[in-house]
Amino acid sequence: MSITPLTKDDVKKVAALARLAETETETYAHQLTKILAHVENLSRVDTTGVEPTAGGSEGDGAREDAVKESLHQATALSNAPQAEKGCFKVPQVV
Amino acid sequence: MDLTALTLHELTDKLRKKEVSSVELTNAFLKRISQVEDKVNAYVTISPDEALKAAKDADARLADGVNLTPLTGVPVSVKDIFCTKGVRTTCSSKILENFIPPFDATAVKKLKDAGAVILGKNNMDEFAMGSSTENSAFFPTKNPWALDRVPGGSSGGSAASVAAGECAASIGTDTGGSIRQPASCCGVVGMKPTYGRVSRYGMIAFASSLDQAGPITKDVLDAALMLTAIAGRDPLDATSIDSPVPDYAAGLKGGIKGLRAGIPKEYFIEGMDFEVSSAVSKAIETLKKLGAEIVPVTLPNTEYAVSVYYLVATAEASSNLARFDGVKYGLRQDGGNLIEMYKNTRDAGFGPEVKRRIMLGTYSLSAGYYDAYYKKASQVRTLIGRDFDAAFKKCDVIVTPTAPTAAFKIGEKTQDPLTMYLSDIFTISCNLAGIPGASIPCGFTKDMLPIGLQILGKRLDETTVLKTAFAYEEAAGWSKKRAQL
Repeated sequence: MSITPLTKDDVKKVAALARLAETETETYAHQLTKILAHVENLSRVDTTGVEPTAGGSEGDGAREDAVKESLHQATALSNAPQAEKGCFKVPQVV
Repeated sequence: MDLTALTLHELTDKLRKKEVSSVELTNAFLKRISQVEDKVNAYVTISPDEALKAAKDADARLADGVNLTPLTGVPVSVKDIFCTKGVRTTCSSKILENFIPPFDATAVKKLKDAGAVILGKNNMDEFAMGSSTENSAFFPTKNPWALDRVPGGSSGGSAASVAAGECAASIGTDTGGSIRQPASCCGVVGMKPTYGRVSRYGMIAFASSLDQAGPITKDVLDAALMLTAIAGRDPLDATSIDSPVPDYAAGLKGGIKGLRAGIPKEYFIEGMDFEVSSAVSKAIETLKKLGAEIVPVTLPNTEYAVSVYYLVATAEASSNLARFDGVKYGLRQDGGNLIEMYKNTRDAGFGPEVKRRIMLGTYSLSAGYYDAYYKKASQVRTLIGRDFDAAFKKCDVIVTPTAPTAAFKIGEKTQDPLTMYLSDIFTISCNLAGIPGASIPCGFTKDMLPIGLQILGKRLDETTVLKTAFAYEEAAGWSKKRAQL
């Protein structure tokens, strides 16, 4: 696919999805377009039937699901910007 | 004698012979930091109280003479991406400026268990995104060889702290070259192990399928000692590999007679800096004199590595960095509702490069673009891995330059993100393929800027990479040079 330059509206949409403020949209539109134009060279590669690499390695998998001590509530909350009654506090949702 | 100029293994010897105590050594490094840190800016946080306490414990251990390791009592530094229990961990970001982790990263815990003394936390590009340490939200780090130049990045603070004698050794992380490129710029040794060799637990995630921790040191033996200490399977990281950790230091000697060193033509490109290419060519001649057989190899998909990397890494970053939302830890900026609070927090907390990468990753993963970008990149990643599989049938290690140029000037590449991305052109493929790679000093430009030689190896064959590096280092002697501050 060929690159159509990103518009300010595209950037606004992406920023909203990424929970970022929709500022400096023109600069980002220009920079992201330039980067996307560079990665366009991938379209030259024939990848028919090639499996995607999902990760760096399989690793050796999950540990046994055993009960063990975890962080105490007060410790877990110790970095919270706002906490109340043992919970993280956020602005009203509904 | 200036203790801070010595290597880790030289300090181990002095500690064992009781020529110096760990407390004396720690004080010597803290003094050195107070003398040169104004110029270098390698640390975000210095933790003298914790360091001196650890040094006292190490001295007790040394007095008992039991449970000693080569790291016992030696002062080291740690990139500020590793969580350190009770000591501020910022990832050089405003969003974590006041974050105090309630636990240690596994790599940090292993250093502490080995008896190492942690002096402080090194500056870096914010969330490890960058190649110059200029993307730190706090201040840029300077190259100890030339203070108007960058130390490379993202582990620039770690590499500069080693080169400036502000620690005996350090650990950094490498997602696309972030250990090897700064090591090259600062004239020190850096090693990115095989993906999964060192646990990622407690290492703040950037791109989880590429991130790997490793040592930055003054010489190859030090790198082997540090790697032996931090490597190994960790139940807290499902991608860590359950394979015995060799004694890497024991495997260094014996020479490289008969070793097959592959030279990929794709890494010796037209327009490359002349001083870099001639230093690397001389290094290859040295390997030949040491008995290595030089084998031409080809890695045909090299030209696509930067594109693959910037799609895969940003996609993973956009997901990983979703956790910084002003709820559980870190900065919060209030807003009228929950969504506004998220946006205000992330807008105030992230720097421009981090936002750019989150947006690129979000875009390439979004509906309608996934197949063209993320999936395509992951398929080309497979081909890059196959290139290495094929090349390693003909050779035991692959030798290339670490970076296309020596350290560039501060501010030189900050205006154009893409130019900065191209400084990683020789280091990225190694992460995409998950194989180990090291950078070691191989000379200087006429302006006395260090040049790095990259040695890549087969999966889990760190031993051969280090053995090659050790043989070259002994013959060439560049690692003995120290920056004058």
